[in-house]
Amino acid sequence: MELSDLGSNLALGFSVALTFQNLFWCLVGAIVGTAIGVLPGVGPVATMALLLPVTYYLPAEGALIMLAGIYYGAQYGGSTTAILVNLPGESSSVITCLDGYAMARQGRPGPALAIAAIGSFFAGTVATVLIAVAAPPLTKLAQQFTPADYCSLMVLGLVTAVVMAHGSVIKAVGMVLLGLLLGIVGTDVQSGALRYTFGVDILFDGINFVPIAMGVFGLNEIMANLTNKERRDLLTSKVSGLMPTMADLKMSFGAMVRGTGLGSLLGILPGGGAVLASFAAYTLEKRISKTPEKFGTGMIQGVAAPESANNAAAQTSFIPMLTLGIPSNAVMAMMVGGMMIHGIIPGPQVMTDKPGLFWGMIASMWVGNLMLVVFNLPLVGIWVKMLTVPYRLLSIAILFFCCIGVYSLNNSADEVLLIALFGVVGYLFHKLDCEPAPMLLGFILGPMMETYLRRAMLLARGDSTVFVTSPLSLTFLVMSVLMLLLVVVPAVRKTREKAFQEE
Amino acid sequence: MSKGPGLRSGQDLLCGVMFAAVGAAALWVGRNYPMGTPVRLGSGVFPMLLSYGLIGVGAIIFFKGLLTDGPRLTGWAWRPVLLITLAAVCFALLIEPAGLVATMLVVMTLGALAGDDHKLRELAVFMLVMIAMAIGIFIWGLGMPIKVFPWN
Repeated sequence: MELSDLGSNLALGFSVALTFQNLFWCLVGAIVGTAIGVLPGVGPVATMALLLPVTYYLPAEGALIMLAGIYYGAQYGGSTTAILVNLPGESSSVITCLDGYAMARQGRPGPALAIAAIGSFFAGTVATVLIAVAAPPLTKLAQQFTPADYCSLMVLGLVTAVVMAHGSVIKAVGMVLLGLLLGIVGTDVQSGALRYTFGVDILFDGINFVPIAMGVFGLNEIMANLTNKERRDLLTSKVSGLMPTMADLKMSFGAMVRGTGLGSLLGILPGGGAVLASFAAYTLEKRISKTPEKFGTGMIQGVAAPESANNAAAQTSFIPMLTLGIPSNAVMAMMVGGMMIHGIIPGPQVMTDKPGLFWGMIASMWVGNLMLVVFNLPLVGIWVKMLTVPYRLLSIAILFFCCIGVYSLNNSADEVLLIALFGVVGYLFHKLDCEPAPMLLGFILGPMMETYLRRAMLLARGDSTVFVTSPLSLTFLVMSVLMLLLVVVPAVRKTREKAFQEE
Repeated sequence: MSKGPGLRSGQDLLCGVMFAAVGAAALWVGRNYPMGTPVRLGSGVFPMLLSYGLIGVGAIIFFKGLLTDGPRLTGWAWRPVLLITLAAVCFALLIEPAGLVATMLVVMTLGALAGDDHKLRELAVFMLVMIAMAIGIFIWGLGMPIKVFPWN
């Protein structure tokens, strides 16, 4: 791409994003996003779904800029709850809980929050430039992926989820398989056959992501926390000294850069997005760290990397949606919904037919990120106050927000019954020491993976060797195997050492 | 859970049984889903692969629990589990017939019973604030089509 194209594209984008009206909608989106990100149990998908009818009354640019703002705003807010309450406001902040919450427990929630915000802004800035530079060529690359490549790519994503899981690798594999199975509940897109619906009509369209996520994270957290005095008391930990030290910044910088790079890359790939990016970035940091055993005990890199990665991915995940018309996650599906309301069909023609909208949205993301840093760091005090409510009261609020959040999605009382079910299931997992995060990832990727598996087999005329003869697919599979070996081998060694010691 | 020979980790044993049972159930429920051909995979292939995977993983975890030491099962905290679940069920059953305020009173009371150390006055104030906030956000702000009171 010519440099002058880049300049004129961005100039066009900013001329759209910086109009008074669009600045206003950007701000509204960013603040609403942060608020719902902070409020546990109310996610961006539910909020965007609620606001879709509202966007009908806005111009197309304003509507999409606001919806986008909710998404990346929620990334900022989600990390706040992850760090302070150990409750990810967003599934992409799940991993931030590990070290962010550990830092809060050590009395350093301020630096953790600041690093999360700074990392997010850094990632947002880089990702904006990156989209502008790379959108056209990267689109061409993604278009060359065959179904077999996609399928193997998803295997790699799931293996990543297994590798990053705390504790037992084999249990994480089980959770991924369970998630994949849950994901295919409902009507088979290809044949129209009903699978695992047991004649229950709310299952015909498949299980919604939100009730599962709220059940295993929201309700289960309350159940577990209410029985665990130690974790409950930590909520009252005082936030003092917001600014990170120079040492903190120095330690996080590399993690931010790596997180941004990895996040930007994973965000572009369908099925990836912010969740996968934050997991992958954390895994990477842990792998290259000289002190991997310290992760989970309050390493600042463990906050900087996933928070940079999820924000970078949140932004670059717009690329497949905008250019190929493929929503890579539930949030992007909402964006597609928002475009359809305004009669815009997502696809390659958006960039050429509506350059103002395309580049305006991209520019607005940088503007929105700037707003978030400027407003959020000072406002952290308010979020913190919101969250210093004692847990005995907070748990009641979370309970209610989970219920009404799920209800508001489809005005379906039956889906609230689903969160009750998944709350208990989540508690069982908690008791069995099975992490729910890999299951959620499997759940998201399940239907897509099956579709690509079938397409790959169809194109290869039933020859399953296609997965190893396509170079890209082979690369992804080899990477998956290598990652598994990396974790399994030391585990094997440790178990054996332990066994030897006992003898 | 006694730690005799052959029963090293109750947690792993139960976990293995859970995965294997889900896999077996999925295999049985999906036994008639069409398999199709290698070129046109039927709707039964992917579920079958996952089911066998789950059974295999379950078996590995189960035998790991038999052969190696691991964490034991700990008791369930029945009070919060039952009360929180009941609260969500009540929300589902009440929200449409009884409206927002009555539903919130029931759900929040059950939620409060799940925890302890509640001060009555603090709880009452908190519930009033929550109800006011919920009406503001969900009824006025977002215009959700739910009744405020049962008689609306």
